[in-house]
Amino acid sequence: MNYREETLTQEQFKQGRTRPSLVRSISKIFHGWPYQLIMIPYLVAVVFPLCWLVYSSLKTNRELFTGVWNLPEVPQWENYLRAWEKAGVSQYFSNSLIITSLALLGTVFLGSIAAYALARYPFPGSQVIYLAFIAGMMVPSFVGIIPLFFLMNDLGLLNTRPGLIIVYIAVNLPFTVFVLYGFFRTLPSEFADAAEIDGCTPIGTFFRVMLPMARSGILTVAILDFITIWNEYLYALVLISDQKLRTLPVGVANLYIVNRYHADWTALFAGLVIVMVPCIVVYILFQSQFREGITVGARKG
Amino acid sequence: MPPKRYYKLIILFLVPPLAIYLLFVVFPTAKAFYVSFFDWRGVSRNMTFAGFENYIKLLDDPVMWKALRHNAFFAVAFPIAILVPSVFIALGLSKKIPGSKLYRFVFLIPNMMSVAVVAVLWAFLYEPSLGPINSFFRLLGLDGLARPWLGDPKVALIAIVAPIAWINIGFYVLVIYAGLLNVPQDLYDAAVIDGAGGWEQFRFVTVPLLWEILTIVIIFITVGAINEFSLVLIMTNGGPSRSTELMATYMYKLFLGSKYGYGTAVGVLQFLLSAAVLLVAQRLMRREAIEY
Repeated sequence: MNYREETLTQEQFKQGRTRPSLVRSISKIFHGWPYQLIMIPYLVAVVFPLCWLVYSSLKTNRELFTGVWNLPEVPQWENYLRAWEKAGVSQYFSNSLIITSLALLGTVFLGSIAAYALARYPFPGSQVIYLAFIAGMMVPSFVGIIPLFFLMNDLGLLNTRPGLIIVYIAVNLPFTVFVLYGFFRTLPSEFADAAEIDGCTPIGTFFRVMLPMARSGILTVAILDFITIWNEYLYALVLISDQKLRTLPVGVANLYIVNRYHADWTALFAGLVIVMVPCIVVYILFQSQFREGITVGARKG
Repeated sequence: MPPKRYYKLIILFLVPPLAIYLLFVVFPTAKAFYVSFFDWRGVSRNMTFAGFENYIKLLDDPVMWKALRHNAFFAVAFPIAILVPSVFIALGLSKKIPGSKLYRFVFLIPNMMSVAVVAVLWAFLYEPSLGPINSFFRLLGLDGLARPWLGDPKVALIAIVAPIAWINIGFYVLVIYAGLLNVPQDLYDAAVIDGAGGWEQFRFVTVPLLWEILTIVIIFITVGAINEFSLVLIMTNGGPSRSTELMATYMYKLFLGSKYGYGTAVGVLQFLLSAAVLLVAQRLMRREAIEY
């Protein structure tokens, strides 16, 4: 009886605090409204240019010049065909695909073995190596670009896909090692110890036990590296001059720079959408990894 | 020292990544300092030692001073244009206002885009005759505001701040938001009991607890301002009449003009300025660590 009375009073108490539902929903909408004064305009500022770009890429050039705001009468999918075939975007796309996937594989593989060795087997000097890697995150890529250009030239790697791939691996190692080092430190060592007692070599333990356990951390860092490498501009611009080997960002930017005054704008817009789409798809599929990656960076940074 | 049986793993796992990193990142960076003391131009490999000559020449170079002023402008404008909206947006998100989830999703999208895409897109938004920004002003009857944004030396540098803020705000929102989530709710409750209003809570609870993250964010944005390159190269190539020339675009032009020693000196200067910002900002913004 006592118990029942008590729950009743609690319910009554809750009811007493609850406002009628209409008032509640209105007050919910207006909850934090001063913030909405920033949120909504900024939402429009982000979304509108993107929507405008996508629908403009489906207009004819004439439509674009007569009414910059109007939607296309009939979607002009030929713009994409023109960009893909005539403007050479298909070539840039396959270059980007090859370079990004191999550079990503290399970065994640080399980054995880380095991070694992440093995180799990500290030895005198390992902290120095770790810091040397981390320092690379703060060094602007610009400083060494001219010596790098000549180094690549001497190694016969200038203007080659393997050359750009290896540079991408090198410049993305600091961030990758940083994130995965933190990740391997948090993994419990019991499983590794058990595997070793069962006769696994240390290297076998890494590949069979620890690497699969680190999947989520590796996925996070791989996605962030993917975005960085796919979108990279500076190294691709300086280290590749052969038009046939250009990556998407450099190729598409060049379409704009070269044809600035007599441009086929709608095909150019189609090209921009083609650069953008893979990143947006990856972003939509792996949102939580992005947030995790940024949170890790913010906590440790 | 780990047991001997781990030596093989440590060596096999560390040597290849370290070798690649040393050869393609550390070596070129270190060599830049060396090269900046040489007179080295043209295709030949003839470098003659010149001491501080490149640096002395930089002090006398009007283009360099112009570029430095533009980078300094960015170093002030970026933190204002990026940090202020980011803090407010992050605060709004932490208050769980309606739409928070949508905002968190959408605001990061510009950060996922290649700088090349953003540059070309914004160059067209700014297009003088039919670009959406000018035609928007004309639509509102504000013809006076319409101008050739990137073609007018007086406003081009300011116009470039907008796309850079557009790319970066979403990222810093999430960084600051992650920091806000770490601020314990009891502190706000205690502040409310002590009679703190919204501003007092912000000033005396949020800011002190967020100080470390804000310091890092400011350092990142400022270092970014010193090294800004790609977006400006594509949008204006430093023009019109060098009104958006930056240290990095100037260095790139020196590189294209085969002035390797002199160009590298510009790069080294950028590096030193970045390092100085890092040290000075850490000094200036150091406060006692707050335990909570």
